[in-house]
Amino acid sequence: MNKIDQALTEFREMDELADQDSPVHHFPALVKLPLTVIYILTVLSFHKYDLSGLFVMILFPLFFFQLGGISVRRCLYRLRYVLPLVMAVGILNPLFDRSVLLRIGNVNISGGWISMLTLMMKGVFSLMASYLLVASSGIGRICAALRRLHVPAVLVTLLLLTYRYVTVMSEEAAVMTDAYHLRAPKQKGIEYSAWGSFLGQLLLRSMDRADEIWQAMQLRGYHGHFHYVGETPASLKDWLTGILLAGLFVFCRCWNVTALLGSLFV
Amino acid sequence: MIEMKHVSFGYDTGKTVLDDVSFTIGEGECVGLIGANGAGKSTIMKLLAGILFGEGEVLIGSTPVKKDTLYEVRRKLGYVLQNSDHQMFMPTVYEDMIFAPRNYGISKEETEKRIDAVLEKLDLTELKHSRNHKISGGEKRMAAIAVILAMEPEVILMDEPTASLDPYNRRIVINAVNSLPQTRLITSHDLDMILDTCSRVILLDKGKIIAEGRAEDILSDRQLLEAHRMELPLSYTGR
Repeated sequence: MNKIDQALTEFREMDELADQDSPVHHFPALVKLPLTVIYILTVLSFHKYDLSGLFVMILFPLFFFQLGGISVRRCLYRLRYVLPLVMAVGILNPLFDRSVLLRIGNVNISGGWISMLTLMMKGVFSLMASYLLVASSGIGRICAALRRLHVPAVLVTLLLLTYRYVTVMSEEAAVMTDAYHLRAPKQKGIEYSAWGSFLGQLLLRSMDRADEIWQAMQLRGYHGHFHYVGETPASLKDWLTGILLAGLFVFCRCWNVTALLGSLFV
Repeated sequence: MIEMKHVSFGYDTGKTVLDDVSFTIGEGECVGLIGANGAGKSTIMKLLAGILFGEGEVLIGSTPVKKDTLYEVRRKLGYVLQNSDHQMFMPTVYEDMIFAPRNYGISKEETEKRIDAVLEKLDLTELKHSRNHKISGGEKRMAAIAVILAMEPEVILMDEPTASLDPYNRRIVINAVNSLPQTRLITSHDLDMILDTCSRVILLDKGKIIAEGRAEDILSDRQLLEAHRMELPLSYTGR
């Protein structure tokens, strides 16, 4: 299996994860979606030095990963390409912010290090929450929820088709890569000189395929409006659960729960 | 049910693909459209489905195929594409099956009834919630037919329905095609399949109709077939 095939398999596994049977999966995407947005906004709103306050926010995704039977390890593995970028965001902070915030033994910890860690954690927590949303709902249900939240149909359809188009392009790329390697057995990757024609061909082939899929859609009555399936309507109980969780997020944001817990023992 | 009257089609490059093609297919009839590569078979299918537009008149039922009648035409017509991967663009068989009925405003309950009936008829009930990328080529082809049948079309166009199928799955597709009451037009290079499914055959070469008649008569005419870059079906060669 080449790397593109592997990536494609992982991509499709995301959809399969959404088919699982758990309370998290049954929880309507219509509530999960705004809840995830609130969680991310809450996480992002923490002060750059509020590391201990932020730390408690990891409990929410971890709890729901457990409840949904979704592996945290798989999540971090799948996010391996994005995580370094997220982590790199604050990498220069220790150089610019040298004010000492705390001491551990003889070691001075500067504000730069704390803010770097805070930024990294914010990124990781946000990605984990987004992953949890997609892995427990699937793109179809998320799009259905977006429509019910009155996000314009054009944007939602664009999101859905872009998501689908990734697989179309990846499949073509996988076939082309296999064909290339079969005729270039000693090469590790694709030679630089072939990149231009390779990408050009990939684009043309993907366009042809997308065109055929578009025709297939039109032949079956598509006129710009998608009918999404699988979305369970949100009950009052679901909304109340959502509000309670959102309230917990805000509580954790306003009160440093880690410090409160610590004060019980110190 | 299907009618083409003096239809011609050419691309902007000036190449003529179809030249004054006329034929009629009656209600419930199953007709095979055969010819070598580049004969114009797929172009005829695309003209019937309103993907391309040429000169002359194309009718599905009593509805002329024009840009402003496409909705009506496509409601009557189901087109099984040669490549099932292109046809099955939704993640699961079920989602693909509800796509057309829901687009045509069929109620949820009626759609469910149709889907269950079609899957049962084609013995595909187990595939209902399968992911499209996880099913085999043969299953995908059958699912593609099921997807079209869920539309309850009056006319079914099939482009190479048995291409790249193993003998077992090919036989399943042939049996499925034979069990359909709809008007069917099938293009294929698998002449044995055409012989098994179609009562009438239209032979096409270089955009013109060369012969039209009973499947047994045309498909047993070695001279005619070989003159137009084709071969006798294996059933007639005695091999």
